Amino acid sequence: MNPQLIDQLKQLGIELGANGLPYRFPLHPNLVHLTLGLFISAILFDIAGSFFPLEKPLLRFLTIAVSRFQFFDVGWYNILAASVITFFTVIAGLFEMLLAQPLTNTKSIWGLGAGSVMLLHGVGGVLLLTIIIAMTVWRGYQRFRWRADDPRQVQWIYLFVGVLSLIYMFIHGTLGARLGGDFGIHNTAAQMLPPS
Amino acid sequence: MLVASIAIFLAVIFGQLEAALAQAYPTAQAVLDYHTINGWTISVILVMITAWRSVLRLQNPLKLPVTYLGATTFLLILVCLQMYLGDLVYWVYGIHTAPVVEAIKKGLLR
Repeated sequence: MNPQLIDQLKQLGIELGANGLPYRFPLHPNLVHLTLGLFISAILFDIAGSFFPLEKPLLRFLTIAVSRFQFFDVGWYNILAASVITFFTVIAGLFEMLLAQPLTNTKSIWGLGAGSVMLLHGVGGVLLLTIIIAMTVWRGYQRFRWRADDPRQVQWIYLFVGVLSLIYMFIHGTLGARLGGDFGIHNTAAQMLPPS
Repeated sequence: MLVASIAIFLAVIFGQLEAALAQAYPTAQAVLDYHTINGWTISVILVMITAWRSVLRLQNPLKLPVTYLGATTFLLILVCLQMYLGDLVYWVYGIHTAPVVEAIKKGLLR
């Protein structure tokens, strides 16, 4: 973190608390769960829609009245919402990363220091936003142009890229979890501990 | 709602497991207790509303009564409260973060 930044914020009348933020707890880790839930649901519902013929007997057994296109509706609106909310996730993440004061006497599970993890998570986060936006545009073209009349609204390659993105998201999220969990960034109790 | 009703039980089970393993100091324990009680309350209400929603869907998939929307809004408020309590447990009291767990082991935090 840049120490000059704190002074500049003070000049603007913004006081930082023990957690290094001008508010009680970080927003990014909360917003992240919206991105995760929406994106995972988007891909899973498109997978469910694509394999609909196999699921029919089970849905009938459970008396769930559903048509195939409804799964694709959920897939589309979820990825659309994911791409809107993820801008806020990334904005909050960048702001909070600028104010981060990681504990320096520790290493993460993969033997990386706080700086490396922050760099990977920061750059990786913008990359993930790009992937989500690109996939939303791709999904929109499939829904409204290329496959508008196709009972299976998404291409297999789209689902494949979606699953790869989920794996990348898992790795990326694990790195982020290390920042709060191992390096105590923006964690009030961890930041108030005496240096060991 | 159907997916949420299934997912919440995973959330509650892991929450219970991790709460049981948490070495919470007294101030943190109080908030953790609120988080636990509110979590179970949400799971019960969520399952009830999902059952109600499935009946409504079978009756008329294009119509929802205002009372239903009121009930889900109430649930939404409980979920926001739960997020706030969970944030306090983790981000303020540092339960299950490595530095705080270490400090508790060394007896620095009571």
